[in-house]
Amino acid sequence: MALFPKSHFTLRTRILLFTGSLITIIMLGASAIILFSWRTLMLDNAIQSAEDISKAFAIPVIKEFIRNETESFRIEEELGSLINQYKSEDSNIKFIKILNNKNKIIAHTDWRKVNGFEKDSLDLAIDKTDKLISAFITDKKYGKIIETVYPLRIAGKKWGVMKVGISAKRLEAKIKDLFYMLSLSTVLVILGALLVLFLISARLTKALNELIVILENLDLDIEQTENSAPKTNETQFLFSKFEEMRSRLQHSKEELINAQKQIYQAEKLASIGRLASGVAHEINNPLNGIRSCLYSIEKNPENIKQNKEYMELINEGITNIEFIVKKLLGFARQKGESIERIDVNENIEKVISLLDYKIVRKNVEIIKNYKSGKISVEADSQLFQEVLMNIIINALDAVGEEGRIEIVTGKESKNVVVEISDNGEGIEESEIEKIFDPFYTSKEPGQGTGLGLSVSLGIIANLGGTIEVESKKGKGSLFRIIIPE
Amino acid sequence: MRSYAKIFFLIFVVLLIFTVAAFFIFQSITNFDRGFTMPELKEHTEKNYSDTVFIGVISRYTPEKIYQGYQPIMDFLSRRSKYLFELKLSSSYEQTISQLKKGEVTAAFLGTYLFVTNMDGNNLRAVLKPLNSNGKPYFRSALIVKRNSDIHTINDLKGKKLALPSTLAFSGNWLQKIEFKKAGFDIFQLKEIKHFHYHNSVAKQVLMGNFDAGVVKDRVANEYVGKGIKAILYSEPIPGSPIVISRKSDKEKVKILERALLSAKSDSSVKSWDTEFSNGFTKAENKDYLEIKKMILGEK
Ligand SMILES: Nc1ncnc2c1ncn2[C@@H]1O[C@H](COP(=O)(O)OP(=O)(O)O)[C@@H](O)[C@H]1O
Ligand SMILES: [Mg+2]
Repeated sequence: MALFPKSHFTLRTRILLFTGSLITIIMLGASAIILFSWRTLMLDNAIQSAEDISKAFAIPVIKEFIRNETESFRIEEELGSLINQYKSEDSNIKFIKILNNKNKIIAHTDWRKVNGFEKDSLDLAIDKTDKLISAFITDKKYGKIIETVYPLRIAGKKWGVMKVGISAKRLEAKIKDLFYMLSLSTVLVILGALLVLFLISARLTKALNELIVILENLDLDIEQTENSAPKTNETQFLFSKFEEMRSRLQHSKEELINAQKQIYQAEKLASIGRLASGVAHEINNPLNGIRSCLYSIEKNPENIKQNKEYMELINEGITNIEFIVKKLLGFARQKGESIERIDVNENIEKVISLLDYKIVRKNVEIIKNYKSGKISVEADSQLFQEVLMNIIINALDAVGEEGRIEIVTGKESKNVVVEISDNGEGIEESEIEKIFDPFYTSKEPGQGTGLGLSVSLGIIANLGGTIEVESKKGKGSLFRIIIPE
Repeated sequence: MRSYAKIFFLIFVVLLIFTVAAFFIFQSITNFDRGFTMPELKEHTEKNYSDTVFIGVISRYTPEKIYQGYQPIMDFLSRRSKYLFELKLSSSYEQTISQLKKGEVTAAFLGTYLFVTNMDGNNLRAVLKPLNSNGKPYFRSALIVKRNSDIHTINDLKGKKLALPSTLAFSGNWLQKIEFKKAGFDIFQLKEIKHFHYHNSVAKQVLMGNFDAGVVKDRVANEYVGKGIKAILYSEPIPGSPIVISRKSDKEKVKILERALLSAKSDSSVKSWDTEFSNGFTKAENKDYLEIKKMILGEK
């Protein structure tokens, strides 16, 4: 059995996929943040420098207007040459235009536009501010530009508006470069991280796999040999802890087996104790026969022919006693488990013969309803007899006058079934589920240990079978032993 | 082996997603069009002015400085009346006088010297004069030197270079016409004497060491005191630069101008006015200037 559930991906692949995507997502997120914040910075910078250029240039333009106030000359020509000179000095400047208060273009770096009119919603707003404003615009003619609009005024005196278009080509190129650079470095870092991850995961999963192999082959009963221990530091510790746990488990398993053996033996001895009185009677009968034979021989020692007859009777009696003692010893003796194919009916007969005296004394009618032919199970005959003994003694305990016990054997699909039913006192419905509990007994001390059914169920369960009960208080009970063939 | 195929497929899908995402990111970062963001609009009421009132200014400062200091006064006046007040700059002091005479300007900011030397022949009349920071309608001219200079009195000027403002300003005439006479100092004892167009230029020349001493208005001198300049002599209090009208000036417009400027001190905009006027105005008459006129022109 594998410790890890089977999956489409190996542990390593899953580590790679999970951690890899985590790294990738984090890297991409970080790059995106850097990209957008740098871009904002660049845009702000570009705007700032465009505004600075415009502000600086606005000073001589305003000066021209002021000069015109006192000297009255053709300001359009002066401004025209001024802006063209300024534009020629800075290749980034795409256009400069100056509008008067009536929105007439009085100067433009593109001379064809001079004397045209320009009026849009922006100009209305411009009228009302004395601040410079700017925008990024994609112009049909000039491409990407930063356009600044500057009201030419001092306090409430306004001469017009100056609009400057400054190329944003370099800015665009810089942003593109930033994008390429960041993309490349992101890809490189991700690839690098994945490679490192790949190597680390190889090491880590190698150690883990080693451990898994060891755990899979682990047997509680076999101590691990030194060379099967993992070589890596990460797993060595785990492994030694595991070894410790294993030996503790093994120890408690042994203790459990010992305890179970003792219980079995105790129950068995109890059964024997209960058998003993009957056995004494059984032995008494042949003994009485032997004694009266001896008495007759002693009285009449010369009658050889008769004595020979008596001797034969004595021999028969001794054989009887031998047989009874053998039966008892056979049951009491603790042997090692030996599982073999055993005949079910034959074993039932042996148990009944052990209980003969009890049956006769209680005047119980035994009805046998065996399946004809041989039915057998794979089991230890000693243990199997113990189970039968338990259940039949329980039945004998339960029946009163006119007691009747029926024993039926048979087969149901692949199982062997032994039913032992009685017309005894029966079991209270609420008690039925408790009768298999160890130490549950309704009997007087000395009469019952409460272990019989618990031990029996243990034995049958070990064979892969089970014991079922049906019972009605006052009517009787039925115990059904089911064992796989 | 099937799981490998799965992984490769997965990687392929992920790469595809990344490529598409990268494409869209590229699109979005290279498209940075962004319209104009309007700054907060100043309160601006479109007003229909019934007429434009031109106010002349003598060119005592650079035009930029005049606009910065005087345009807020015009804005204030426009706000307070139905007229649009506009500055009319001139290239010379005389030009402003002629604008007044011709009625091209309703009133004009003149210098004290220019007024007293032109008031009679041109029928000019002072209507307002500015208050100084002590609430008095006077200013003084100051003789300034560098802080570590060894010039302490007029007589120390012997062999020194002197910077003065325009010959048409009181400060440009004070030493020669008043103090030198008092001290018995001969102007030819100076190594050099040069007139500059603006008061600030004089202070800068002294500060730079191009000239050993200079004369400026007390207000300008105070501006430079912390910067390495000290004043060693002050003139008598001189009535401040008047706002002047001529016979051609429209009486109603003048009234409005007077009333507005007399109450100007409480207006919050005075902070942005030329500091000469930021303490407000008081009424002026021509006789306020008679004494200084006598002193300058040497009349008895
Ligand atoms: N055939 C039966 N008829 C009635 N009661 C029974 C029968 N077999 C078992 N029991 C009940 O189950 C209890 C447990 O039986 P068992 O485990 O053999 O212990 P014990 O016989 O020592 O009491 C008995 O005490 C009895 O109450
Ligand atoms: Mg029992």
